[in-house]
Order: sequence, then C-alpha cells, then structure tokens
Amino acid sequence: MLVLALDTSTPTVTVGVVTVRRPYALLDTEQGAADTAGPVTVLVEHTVTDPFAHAERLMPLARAALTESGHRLAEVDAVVVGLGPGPFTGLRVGIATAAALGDGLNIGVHGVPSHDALARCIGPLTGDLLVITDARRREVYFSVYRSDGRRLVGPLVARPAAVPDLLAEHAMAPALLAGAGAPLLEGVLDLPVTTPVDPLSRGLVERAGVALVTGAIAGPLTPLYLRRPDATEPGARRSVLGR
Amino acid sequence: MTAIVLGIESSCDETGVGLVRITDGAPELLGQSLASSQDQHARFGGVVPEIASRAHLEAMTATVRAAFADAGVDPRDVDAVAVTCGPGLAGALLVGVAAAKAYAAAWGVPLFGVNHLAGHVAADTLEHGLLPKPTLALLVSGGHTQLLRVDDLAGAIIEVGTTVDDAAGEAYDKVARLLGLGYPGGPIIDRLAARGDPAAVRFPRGLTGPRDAPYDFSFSGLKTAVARHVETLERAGAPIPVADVCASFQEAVADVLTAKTVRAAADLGIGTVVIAGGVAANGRVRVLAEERCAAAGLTLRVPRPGLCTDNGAMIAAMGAHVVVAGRAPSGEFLTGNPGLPVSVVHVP
Ligand SMILES: [Zn+2]
Repeated sequence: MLVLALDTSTPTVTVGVVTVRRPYALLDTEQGAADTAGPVTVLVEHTVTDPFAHAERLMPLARAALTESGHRLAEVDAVVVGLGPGPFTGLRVGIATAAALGDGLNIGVHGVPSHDALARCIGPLTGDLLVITDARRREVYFSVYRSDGRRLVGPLVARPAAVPDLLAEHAMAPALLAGAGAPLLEGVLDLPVTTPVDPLSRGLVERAGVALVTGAIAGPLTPLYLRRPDATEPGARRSVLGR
Repeated sequence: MTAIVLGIESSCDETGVGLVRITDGAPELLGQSLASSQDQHARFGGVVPEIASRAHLEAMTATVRAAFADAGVDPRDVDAVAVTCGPGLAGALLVGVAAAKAYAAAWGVPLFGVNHLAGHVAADTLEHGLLPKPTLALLVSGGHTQLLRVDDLAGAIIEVGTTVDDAAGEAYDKVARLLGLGYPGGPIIDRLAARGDPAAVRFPRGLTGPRDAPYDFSFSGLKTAVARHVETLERAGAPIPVADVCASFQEAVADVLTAKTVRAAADLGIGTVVIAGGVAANGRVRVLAEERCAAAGLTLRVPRPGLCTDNGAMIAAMGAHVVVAGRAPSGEFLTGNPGLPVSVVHVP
C-alpha cells in the first residue's frame, strides 16, 4: 500500500512517500524497534526547515515528493501524520492537512506521536534514549525510550533546567540524546547526541503499522499540545474616574 | 457557465463551510454548516485565539461533511475550493487554509484564497442578487468596522473609512462586561436597549467633529464615557438604569454608523448600501439605517442574520464571483495573511 507521511511538529516540515508490504508484516515491529530488513520502504522524503511557513510549504512539498516517486495523490491508500508534541500553529497545519486529505480522498488517516516516530529512526540503541524538541517559550518537549523502542516517559513539557530532576523522578538515566531540540539541553545534561539513520517517514509509518495493515479504523487526530491555551479571565473592573 | 464552489471560513471563532452554485453570474446557496467556539470564549469576555484555533481543527472535517449533507451535493461535483486567507487571527486562518489546500488537491480542483471582508459583502448576493456598481458596504462586527466602496466584488474594493480603535462589536462586548451582562455583548445590549430610553444619556459620537475624518470611526471614547457614567452613579450610591444605559449607548453607535454611511454614499454618489457583519443584525442599527437610507433616497440591502455573521457560504459566494470573473487560482504556496488589506479581494 502507498502511504503519505507528514510531520509538522518541529521547525522542519517532513513529507514522505512510503510503501508498505502487505500483509501484516508490520505486526512484529509495532512496539519493537525498526525492522531494518522490514516491509516499509521510503520511496521519497522531502523536508524543508522554516518554522513559520508550514502552511505555505507542506502541500507543495507533498506534490513534489509524490511526483518524484512516480505516484499521484489519488493512488495514496492512507495518510500518517505526526501528532506532536509541537508548537501549536505549525503542528495544526500538518494535522489539518492530513485530516482533509483523508476526508477528500476517502482514505484513513492515522496519527502517531512524533517522538515515537523519531525514536524508531535512531538505529540500534545501547541504552535509553532521550528525545528533545523545541517547545518555544524557553521550554522543551521530551520523551524517554527504552533500547527496544518502547516509550517509558513522556511526552512532557518542561524548562530545560528541570529535565534532569524530572528524569530522576521517573528513575530514568538515558544514555543518548536525539531530536531537533537537543542543543537546548547544552550545559544541562551532558549526553552524546545522536542523529537519525532513517528518514522520519519510516518511523511515522512503522509506528502506525498495525492500524495500517489491518485497516483498523483510525482514532481521532488529537494533537499533543501538552499546554493549555493562554487565556486569562478578566479581573475586576478598573476605575476610569481615578480617585 | 455554471460552477459549484465550496467555501471554508476560519478567521475568527466560527468554522464555516458553504456550497454555492453560480449560474451565469448569479450565485445560489446550496447548503452550509457552521461550528462555533463562542461558548468557550464567554468566560474570557472575548475571543481567545488559541482556543479558537484548536476548535477549528476539531470541527473542520465534520463541518465539511455536514455542509455536503445539507446541500445534497457530492464532493465529486465541486468545481473549485475557496478559503478565507485573511484578514483574521493568524493561527485560526491557517487551519482553514491548510484544510482547503488539501481538499483542493484531493479533488483535483483549483483553489482560491479570498478576502474575508469581501466575503461579507458577497454574502448579500446570495440573498439579493448581484450588486449594482458601485455599492457602498458597511461592515460591522466584533472584528471589523469598515466602509467599503465596491466597484467590482471580484476585483476592486476600496476602503473608504475604518475604525481608528475598537470595532463596533468590541465596544458592545466591553460595555456589556462593565455592566456585568455577559458575552457576547451585541445581542444582550440590543435586547435590554429595547426596554430603555435612548435619550436618557447623551453619550459622545466619536469622530463627528468638523475636522474629523468624515468616514472613520472611533468607539473607544464612547466606551470610556459609558464607564464614567456608570462609575459616577455607583459612587453616588445611585442605582444603574441598565436598560437606559444600553439604549443610550446603542443609540450613539447606531447614530454614528448610519450617519457616516449615508454621508459617504451621498459624497461618493453611490445609490446602494449593503450592511453586513454581526452588528448588522442589531435592531436599532437596522431601523435607523432603514430610516436614513429611505430619507436619502438610498437602496439598503441587509442579508439575513445567518448570512451576516461569519460563515462559509459567504466565502463560497466570494469564490464563485472570483471564478466567474476568470481570475487565476491561488498558487500552491498560498498561506494565511492576518493583515490582508481589503483591496486584495483574491490572492493569486
Ligand atoms: Zn467577519
């Protein structure tokens, strides 16, 4: 089956055109680490990094990726989209696009946590992995994964300086750091930083694996905002007459 | 020529989707659907952008489906998609733009990014047919207070006047809040004003001096005058005549809006006035506009309340006019523009 994978949870917009070999070959890898010889093939992945142009760039990027892969949008069998966590406006662009593509093409749309997808792209792990992305407002989103790819903690949002204590609270001692927000932990947590060996589309599609190959009805596309909207209730009326 | 256009609106707190068929230039509303996050903003006394954006995302595909069901149209019948790409709340706009781009791509039809303000004017063509050229439009709502000269809905709209501070609807919300009446202020004050004396208090009419900009509006001073009046009474231990205050405030708003509109029409030699936006549904604004337009020999057109407030039908109508005018579809890099000027009725 032909799958379009989208993620807009970071400053980078990612679009991948991915094929998945049926049937059920993904069942073994849904919770576990990426099966490198596996049934998922990333035909094309395009990315562009521009934190304020997600709405502008996503569909042109998808069109270009599809064209390069030799496929048309009408041939796509399913859409997978990263649900974040991510800064709200950009994150919503990916999810709104995926939802409308699914509705417009009459195909399923599966949402997956973006950190889970990234954790699957790191390659063989020797210890626990800490995934960090930028939450803006001087905070980070983070999740911790066991070496087999299972998520142990997160995703959570915190100030960088608070991350070591939060990890200690959960008795976590990750050995590796990954994600676009890794530089934000500089001087806070000294861990080796690793970069993905696989395109993010592979992680996204593998994470959605079981639902994709079984044709399960996709769940709601609930964004991982992790923060309440900024809003304050009006206080007492201020005097206009003065004293 | 006939075409069916789907319109998507998400510039503020209403997620709207409409389907319009245009035949030989005449648009016809086939059906529409609306989801509102208004209730979620009530305790904050105004629209909270992030709450509105989240609600748009939650509601979007369901609202599109509901519009198709209402219209009895199949998605395969759609010839073009139109979407509000500004002005409006940045995050809110992008949900609609992203969805519209995806729907247009999925259906393989052209996409037209259109101006929300022009859409308000276009809504009237669904009810009263094509606009004479030129037409003067007064847009009044929680977000806008504008006088527009419309020479061509799909091509040439000029801003004649605008508010220099608060929008008229915003003034209603603020006055309702200071009187402890709840949100949104417009309908509440309108209802109470009907039982009050509009001449009880002479509140100031902003920007109506001989040297003031003749077609611009200001409601901030009016709001402060109401606050002063209320506070003075409170300090004296006197009861607040809420209905009278509402009626007098509303009279000041309606007086300025209609006087400036009629004057602009006379000065510019325009014979037809359209009033749109949420405040167009206001009882006193409507009555006073009818009186004054009749006295001045002007034709007044006000769409029904459901077409006055933000909705998807107005965007579909606007898209339909743009399609019929033969304008080029928007490019694939279309995005939202919170400050889109009204002169840009359609973003190529
Ligand atoms: Zn509006």
